[in-house]
Amino acid sequence: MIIKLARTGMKGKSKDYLILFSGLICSVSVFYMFLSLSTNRDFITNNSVINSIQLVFWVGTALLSIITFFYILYAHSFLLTLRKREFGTYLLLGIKRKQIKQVAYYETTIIAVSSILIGILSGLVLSYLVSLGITKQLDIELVGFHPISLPAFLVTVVYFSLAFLVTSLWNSRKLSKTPILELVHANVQTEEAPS
Amino acid sequence: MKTILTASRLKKVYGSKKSNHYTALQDISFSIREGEFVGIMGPSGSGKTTLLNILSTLDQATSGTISIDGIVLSAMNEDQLSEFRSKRLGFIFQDFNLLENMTVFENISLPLSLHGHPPGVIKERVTKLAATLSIEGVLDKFPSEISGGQKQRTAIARALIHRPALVLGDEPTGALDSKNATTLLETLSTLNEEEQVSIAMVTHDAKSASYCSRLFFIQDGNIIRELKRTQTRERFYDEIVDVVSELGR
Repeated sequence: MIIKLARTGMKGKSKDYLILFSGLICSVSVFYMFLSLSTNRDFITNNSVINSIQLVFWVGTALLSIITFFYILYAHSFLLTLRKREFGTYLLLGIKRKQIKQVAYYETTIIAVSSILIGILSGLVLSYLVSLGITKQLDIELVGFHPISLPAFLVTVVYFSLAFLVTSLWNSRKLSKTPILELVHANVQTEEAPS
Repeated sequence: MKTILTASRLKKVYGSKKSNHYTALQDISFSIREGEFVGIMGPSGSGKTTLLNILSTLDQATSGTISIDGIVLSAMNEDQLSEFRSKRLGFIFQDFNLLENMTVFENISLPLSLHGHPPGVIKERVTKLAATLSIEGVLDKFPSEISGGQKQRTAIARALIHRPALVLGDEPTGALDSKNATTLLETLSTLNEEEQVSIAMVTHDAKSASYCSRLFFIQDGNIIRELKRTQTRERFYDEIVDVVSELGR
């Protein structure tokens, strides 16, 4: 039943979820591409003119991960606010908060797993295509560059799993703290709302 | 006839400490007997919605007690309340609160399927109730594909499918045109008379109120007047209009 609710709920908001989903895939693939570049140590050191290039990449990774984290947190919370009403109705009909949180967890897991997988895959393909393009266009040899990088893969998976976990916990906390009245009447001004 | 709801000395204060102190309900006591159709009337800010929210178990009173069907609300924790709500209460809102991504059939059957009733029983009960409310033709449609009146009747079906002890309505006709509103009120009053469904409804509209069997007028958090319907609906309507103008709205 819980799984069915999660599915129909996501289907109903499929357009909004599609936007979130494509955004997530983009950020995962950019993250992966960047990491695969920075973990190709040979390639960087062979092709760079400055010594501290490794540091530049690490700072870039840190910045990218901070931005990505807030993106996930914000986008996901926003989608949940769109569904406040629906959750309120569930509560009204006797679904317990615990179960509603399960619905939310289930949805986050689906989104997380699929966006990480698709994101890494597209990151791989993209970095391969780009390196191919560069080699062809500039007629040069890219020494020591491999689009498939195990450390980049691992870091991406671990980082996004963590980010999704934190987001999920954050949202579930928010969901437990919102009174049922606010959920049921979300987007509707009640006449006696205390100021 | 047995009493379905007893409210005694309800008081609701919003805000804590000295700042933002606002008393929505002063001291409200009343009871509803089985099979009654009770209306709660009052101007904006009178406390009628607060009262309904408290009766609906969605909000807690600051002091006072409510018992519905012999069960004292304040004695229950959130999970018990949720169980109680889903078994003993039915809700009809102004803006329907239907789940957009489920068909009319799924919407109506949700209270039953959540409690694990067998599909055969669910199908039979939904079909029967849908026929009573004449929405049997739209059971496979989604809420976005049906009219406002049909949406509201779907909401009523969902509120009644599990045979609750009490149905609570928050301006149920508020989002309907007058033709649909009339049909809805007639449906409610037929259900009330023939199936002995107990209904409590909040409204500010004299016409809706005239379908009730008993009316409470609320002002500044107190019940200031009680009106019983003893004659035809048209005469009752005139009586309500008189009281409303007398109260100086």
